[in-house]
Order: sequence, then C-alpha cells, then structure tokens
Amino acid sequence: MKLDKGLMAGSSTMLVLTLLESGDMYGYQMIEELSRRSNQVFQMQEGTLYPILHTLEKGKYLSSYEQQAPTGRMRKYYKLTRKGRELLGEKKSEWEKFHSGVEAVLSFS
Amino acid sequence: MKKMRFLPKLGRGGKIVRNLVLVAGLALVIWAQYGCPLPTIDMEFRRMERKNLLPPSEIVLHTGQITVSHSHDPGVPPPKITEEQILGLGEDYAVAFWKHPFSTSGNQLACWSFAEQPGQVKLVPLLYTISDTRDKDWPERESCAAVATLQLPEGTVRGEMTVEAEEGIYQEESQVLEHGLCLFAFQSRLDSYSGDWVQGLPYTLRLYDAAGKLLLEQTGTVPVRA
Amino acid sequence: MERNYVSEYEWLNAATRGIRFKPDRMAVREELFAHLEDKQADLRRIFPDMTRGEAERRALESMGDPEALGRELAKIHKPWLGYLWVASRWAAVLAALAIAASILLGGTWLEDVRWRVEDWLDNSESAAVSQALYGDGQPQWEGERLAVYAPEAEARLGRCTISVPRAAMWEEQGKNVLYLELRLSYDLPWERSEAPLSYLWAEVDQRNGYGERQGYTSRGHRQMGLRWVSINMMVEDVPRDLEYVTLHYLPGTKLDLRVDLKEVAA
Repeated sequence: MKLDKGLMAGSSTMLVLTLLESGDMYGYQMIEELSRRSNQVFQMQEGTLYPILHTLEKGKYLSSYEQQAPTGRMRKYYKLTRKGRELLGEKKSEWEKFHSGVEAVLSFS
Repeated sequence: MKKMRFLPKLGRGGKIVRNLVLVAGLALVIWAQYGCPLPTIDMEFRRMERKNLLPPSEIVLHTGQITVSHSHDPGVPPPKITEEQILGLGEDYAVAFWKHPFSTSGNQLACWSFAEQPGQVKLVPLLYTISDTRDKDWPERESCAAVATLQLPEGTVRGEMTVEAEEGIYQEESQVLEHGLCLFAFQSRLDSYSGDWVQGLPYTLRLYDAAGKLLLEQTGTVPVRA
Repeated sequence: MERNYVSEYEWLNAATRGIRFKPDRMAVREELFAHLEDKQADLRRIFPDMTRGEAERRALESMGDPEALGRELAKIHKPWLGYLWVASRWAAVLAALAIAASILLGGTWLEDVRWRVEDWLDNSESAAVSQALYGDGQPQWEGERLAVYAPEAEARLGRCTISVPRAAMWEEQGKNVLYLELRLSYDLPWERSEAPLSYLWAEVDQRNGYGERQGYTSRGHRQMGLRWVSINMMVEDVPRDLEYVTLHYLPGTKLDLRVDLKEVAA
C-alpha cells in the first residue's frame, strides 16, 4: 500500500539511516529491505532514494565505497558515519515526540 | 574484495587543499630560484639599499619612463630608454640602481659621493640601453651613456652639455625633469665603445632659465665609477 | 506527464543531464544503471515469462520521472568543486614542470647552494687566514705573527651590527700586514648579505704619514652563520706600532668606526 507522500517524505531520511544502522547496503538493497521489514507497507519511490543518499553522503552522514557484485559489476555501498549515527539519534527522538503527540491526540476523547 | 587504503583518505576537498598547498610551495621555490623578485622596481631598489646598509634615499628618477628628448636622424622617433633604472638622492651622495631583467642577483647599485665633486651641479653617470630602430628589419640594442645632473640652480628650465672626446665634441640637450634634474642621454659614439665612454671626459654644462638667460656654466670631468 | 522512454540509455541521459562535472555524472549514471539492472533481474525472477523489453519498461516506470530526478541530482552535484579539483591538479602538475624547467635554466637559488657547498668543501684557504687570527700555527705562506689584538669595536648600520672581534699583525716578506676580522651580525636571518663587505675600507692612522688605504677582502675567506657573515680584511704595509685604524663604508653612511689595536696574549 502506498502511503501518503507527505508522511513518507519527512521520515525517509530517518528510514534510510535506520537501515544502514544494521549494516552497509547499496541502493536497490535498501528498497528491498525497507519493503521486507515493513511487510510491504513502505514501497519507497525508487527514484527518490538516490537524492536522499547523495545528499546524506555530501553532508558526511554517510560514506561510500565500491564492491564487486557476483555479476561482475561494481556496486556502490553506503555506510553510516559517526556523524550519521548522531543524526539518526536526533531523528529518532524527533519521531518519538511526534509519535507520542499524535497518540495523545488520538486517544483524547 | 575491499580496496586496501594505506594513506589517510582525503575527500575531494582535502585533495584540492593538498594540491593548492603543493602549488604554493612549488611557486615559492620557483620564486626563490630567481632571487625572490619583488613586484615593483621601487621595492627592489629599497631592498637593495637595505642590503647595502644604506638609509632610504629620495627617488628622483625612473629612467624607464623617460624618452630621450630628441633624435639625431630626422624622421626617426627618439629612442626610449628601455631599462628600469632608479636614481636615488641622499644627503651628499646619489645611488644609481639598475635592475636585471630576470635575476635579482644581477641587480646593480652604484654609489656616487658628492663630496668628491667640486662644482655646484653634481653629476651621476648612468648607462642605458636603447633599441636602434633605424634599421627596421634588425633593431639593435645599444649600450649608451647618460649623465644625470643634480642640484641645479633655481629657475633652470633646460640645459646643454658637451663632452670632449678624442675625435670631437658631443653635445646633448635636456629639459628639466621632475625633481629638478636634467638627464643628458649621449647616444653611442661609435659601435665599438661601451656605454661608459662618457666617464672621465672633460665636460661643459650650461644651464638656462625660461627667458633663455644663462644661469650657470660649469666645467669639469665626468666622474668615473670606481 | 509520462514520456515513454525508448531505452534505459535515454532515461539515464535525462536523469543525469543536469550533473555538469563529467566524472560525477558518470558515477551517478553507473549507480542508477546498476539499480535498473537489479530491478529488471528481480522482475524476471518473479515473472519468468516477462520479456526483456517489458522488464525494462517496468523498471523505468518504477524509478519514476527522470526529469524530476535529474533536477534533484543537479542541485546536489554542483560542478564547481569538481572543476576546482581538476584545476588544482593541473596547477600542481604545471608547477612541478615549472620547477624542473627553472632548475634546468638555472636560477640563483641553486647556484647559491652550489657555491656554499663548494666553499664549505674548500676549507684550506680560510683555515689558513683564520689561523692568522686565531690559531697557533703558521699560515701557508711564510711569515711571523707579531701581535694579536682584541679590539672591542662595534657600530650599527641599518639593521646590522658591524664588529671587529679580532685582529693580528704579521710580518710577511719584510712588510707588516694587519689582518682584521670583520663581522656583520644581522637582526634577521634573511637579511644576511655579503654585499657590504666589499664596501668596507680601512683608513690607517696617519701619524706616520701613511695615507688612506683600502682594505683587501676576499670571498674565499668568508665564514657564515645563520645571521652573520665574517671575513678577513688585509691591510698591507702598516707601521708596527700602529694604534688604530678607522673603518669607513659607503659615502652616505658616515661610518667612522675606530678599531683600537689592543694587544692581547695569543
């Protein structure tokens, strides 16, 4: 199911960072992983992934390296930097606040 | 298989900085190679003075900016003095500075003491090079003699100087230049003579005011560089 | 607005067109291409009947609008740093070549280094004249040392202190020769220069009727430190009981440094 784009966009960065927390990945792998973990709830528009990755790399939140795939082609892997981990921490706490705020409103009646 | 890295990883920004630092370092070495040339001739002159432990003098002449006042051949433009030279005036001496076109170690400084000159007007011989444009296909550079005259009487507007050489008399004229001096540029006597031929020759100097009246006539011998 | 892109190639062009710096553009292109290939492989794994063309079309479709992606990527991958990097590399290469050229053409710095090394290797002469002032032994020519002096003469000229720490009188070939050690101490290391040494001259005490003399200095007898230069000046044919000499410099400087010849034990 494709969620409201508005909701997705804001949290895309956080999702990407979280994925990389558990290990280095390349672009396509992240799309797959995200879909798998969310039980197909999140189907990130593939084209939007790369601007996010490149922006994060430019900001030094991620670093990258190349590794050869079994098919022989070179794949660009992304890795979380220490600065990236810090950002993830911030984003997570932002999200917590947002989440508990929404919960609070919903359960108010 | 991951690539091994032996050197610290430099991002693109780091590489740019490293390259520019390298360029700066190399440029510095090249600059030092040519004797650390300074941007203007004035700065070179001052440095030369300091190097020779002289107090800064008053700069009264930049010969590179001067055109010889007239030409001997009609129809041919008067030659321009091509080199950069500076004449500095101290209390009772003058320093003539000649800048080498490429290497600062070729720069020369000559000090002329006025105490040894009896007359009122003090003379400083200079050497200069002109491009001889008479032969347009093959312009030659010649070394010529010039004499700068300082401490002229008030009101001097122009001067005439004659020097007596073996074969005859050479005469030149000069208007008074900025800082109140006259520069007499003697064009080459014969091809075989070097530019300092004027030194040691008897001279007569006549200075005139605006009305054409003779203010001063002085004779003597053009000083010789020791 | 969906355009039907004929091929990956066109799609990739559209998506990376905005990235002006070529190496960056190629790298992003590679990455996107890899993604598309992975996607197609996956589709064909899931739907074995799918044709190549269909897989390609679906993969491109799921990547989305290349123009929009291209705009985003262009904003991120600005070329200026890339250009600067290439420019700085060229500059470094050119600078290295310029150095090589200037060494071949011969500039002054290397010459200086060469002279200094040569001087340092060629110690014999300076040792001889230093011996005249400081040592016990004979210099390499015949003579007899008559006296050693420790004048305390010092004067300031510009940013330099001129001093005469030591002097000696020798008899050589029937004449008396005075040797003076002239030392120029500069305030700043880079101002150190030998130029003034050739303009220093000694005026001999005129009591006995001797007139002005030029002191003789020689480059080969020069010694140097970080901020100082020292040379031996030779004044020939002086009276044995000479009491002092006066050092002078260029006309404008009015240096009248009196060097008293105070005898000391060698």
